[in-house]
Amino acid sequence: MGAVREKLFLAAHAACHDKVYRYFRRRSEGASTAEDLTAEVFRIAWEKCCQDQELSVLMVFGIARNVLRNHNRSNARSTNLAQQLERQRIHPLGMGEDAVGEAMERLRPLEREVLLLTYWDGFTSAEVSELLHISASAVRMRLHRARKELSHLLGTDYVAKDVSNEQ
Amino acid sequence: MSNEKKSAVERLAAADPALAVTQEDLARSRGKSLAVMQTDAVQLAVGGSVEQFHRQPPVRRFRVIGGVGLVAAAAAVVAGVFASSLNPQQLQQPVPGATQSAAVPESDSSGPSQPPEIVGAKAATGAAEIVVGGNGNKAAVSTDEGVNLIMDALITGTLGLNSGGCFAGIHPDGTSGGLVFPFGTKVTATGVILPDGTPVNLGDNYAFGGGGSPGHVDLGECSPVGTPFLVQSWDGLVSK
Repeated sequence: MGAVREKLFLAAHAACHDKVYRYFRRRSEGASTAEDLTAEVFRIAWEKCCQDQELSVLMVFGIARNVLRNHNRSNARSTNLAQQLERQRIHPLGMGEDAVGEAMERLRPLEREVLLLTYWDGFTSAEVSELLHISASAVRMRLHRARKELSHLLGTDYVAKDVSNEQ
Repeated sequence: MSNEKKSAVERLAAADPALAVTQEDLARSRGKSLAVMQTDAVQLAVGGSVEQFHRQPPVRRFRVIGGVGLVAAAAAVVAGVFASSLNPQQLQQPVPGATQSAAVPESDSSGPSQPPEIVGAKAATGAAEIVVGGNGNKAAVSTDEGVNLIMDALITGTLGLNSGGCFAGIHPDGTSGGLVFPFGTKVTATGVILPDGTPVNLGDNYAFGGGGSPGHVDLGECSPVGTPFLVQSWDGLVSK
């Protein structure tokens, strides 16, 4: 019983840990927060393994999404609006490249999430569809819109730079 | 347009914060997340785990209790009818004696035992008088006799005279604090003699046990400001 539980947990851990950690690094404040959130995901996974439940990558990411949502909710409660705005101004989405970060901020939240899950986390449309509980065609449509919008936003940025260079 | 899209996606990929993740970061996080295997923490809900709660079969206790209640009510009605048909004298019960209630404790003996009552304890009330000794020096002495509840504070200082000619504690910064000596203290020209015969003279360093004098007794020139310290223990605490 204990051995089965350990085996299930270690399999899920080996398959998902690095992806989950990177998932949190992309969406939270820093390395220590990402570590804490990852540990919380695997604590829940360890409990689930108690019921001899096999954990797929998507199940672990489902847990991760819930953990991140809770984390963001408690952050929003404890941090006042001014501090949040300040933090977002300084570190938009934790990204280094400001133009991309600003463009991402201007996308709709669900479209942004589809984009990030696809291009950063490397999920297929079918996996994103299962993770977000929306149809695959909706994922494709949102991805198309998000890409278009991002291109537009970044393209505008480029044009503005070219114009300024020409002057 | 396709070039623009490609460029946007490439820039998006290049802006991935996870590119900064090192193997050390991953190793540290792996260790931390594997540590959960050492625990058997289970999320608990009131009355048991969530899992147990959901697996619990439906409770039919209330139905059974309701049935028993109905039977009991019917029995009570039948008994009442039967009793009303009897001679009233047959129903008379012996009246308990007036002293019986005093003999029988009111609380149920099967209940939790009451804490033992503290008897014979006497705390200080703060009552004191000013005693004048030789040379006209004065000291505030407690009039509480037989106090056996001792406070735990400690005060240190040097015995001196305050501006009112009263024996008081002189602190290192030069200020003075009122002292109330225990009941039975004698006042001499050079200091006080505590009830067990321990002398404390002017200039002696002391470390007295006790606490702030309770109550608001006016000690006049012996404690012009603040709450005086009531001395209650002093064994081995006086030095020249």
